[in-house]
Amino acid sequence: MSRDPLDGRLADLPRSVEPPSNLWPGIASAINEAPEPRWRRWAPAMVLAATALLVASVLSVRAPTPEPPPSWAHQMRDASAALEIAVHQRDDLSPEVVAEIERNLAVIDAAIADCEAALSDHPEDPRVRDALARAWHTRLHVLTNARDLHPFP
Amino acid sequence: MSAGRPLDVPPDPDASLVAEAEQGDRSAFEALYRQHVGRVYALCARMAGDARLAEELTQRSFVRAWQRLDGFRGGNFAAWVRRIAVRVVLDERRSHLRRRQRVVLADVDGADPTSATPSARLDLERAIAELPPKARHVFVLAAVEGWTHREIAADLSITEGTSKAQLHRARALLQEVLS
Repeated sequence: MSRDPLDGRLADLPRSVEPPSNLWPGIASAINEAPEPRWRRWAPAMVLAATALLVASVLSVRAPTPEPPPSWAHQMRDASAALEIAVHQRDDLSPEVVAEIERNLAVIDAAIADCEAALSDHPEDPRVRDALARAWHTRLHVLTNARDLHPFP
Repeated sequence: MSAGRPLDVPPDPDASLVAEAEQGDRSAFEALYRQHVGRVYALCARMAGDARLAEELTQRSFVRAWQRLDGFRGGNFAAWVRRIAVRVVLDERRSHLRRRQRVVLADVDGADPTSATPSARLDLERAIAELPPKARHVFVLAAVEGWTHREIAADLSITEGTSKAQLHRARALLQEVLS
């Protein structure tokens, strides 16, 4: 059976052709300027919050009168409050984004509450302190992202 | 592409770079770009029939791939990013954002030196670029990229019968022009 001449010519076409110019600078500029994808912005926060929640849950034996959290936790609470005010002052975020931020904060706040409860029973346990610190860092991270977030077009 | 996948499918060679890019590593994504830009650009140029526009479409394809990395469910990254490129080309076609200026591919790097002469390749590239858009899209995907009619129908939102008819039409037009 004879081969179609068109097929023969098609087989000779290069499957890969380098563009005449380097396109990467334009791509790099676009992905640097664009807001980070939503999944990438929040996913680490959710993982950290979940970790904090898990550690605190394992160790938590709630005492009726919890011990006060360490001083660094107070500093983080203050910083977090200031950031939260800045986020609330934004009026250019869509309701969906605001709702997503609030959902994240609710998860993290639950983790912080559990960590603080666990800390009252295990005040020197480094795992609890680490979990609490991570939870606060996560809260600051989420709020900083929310404060600096470019509104979606 | 229609053949069944063997059981011992080797892991995607891009898997580690994709994992790093998913963590926000732009240098890993740049490495993926370097690896695949030739195939993506060739696809965009042939489908759009416009080498200059293809540069912009290629850029858009990689930006969209970066934005949608969370949608990559493993498998073949090269095929995934080319499917994104097909959608970018079709979006551009639908939007009619710019006037088409047909320019044949000027760069044939990567061609087999033992194959047909450059002028013969350019004739074919030019002939493909001159096909009607729908016939060109189907022809490039079926005859150059090796997609099945089922895959083409799904991505171009047409029936398999239409895909076959457009391929037949494209081949007839090309044979007429090239003869």
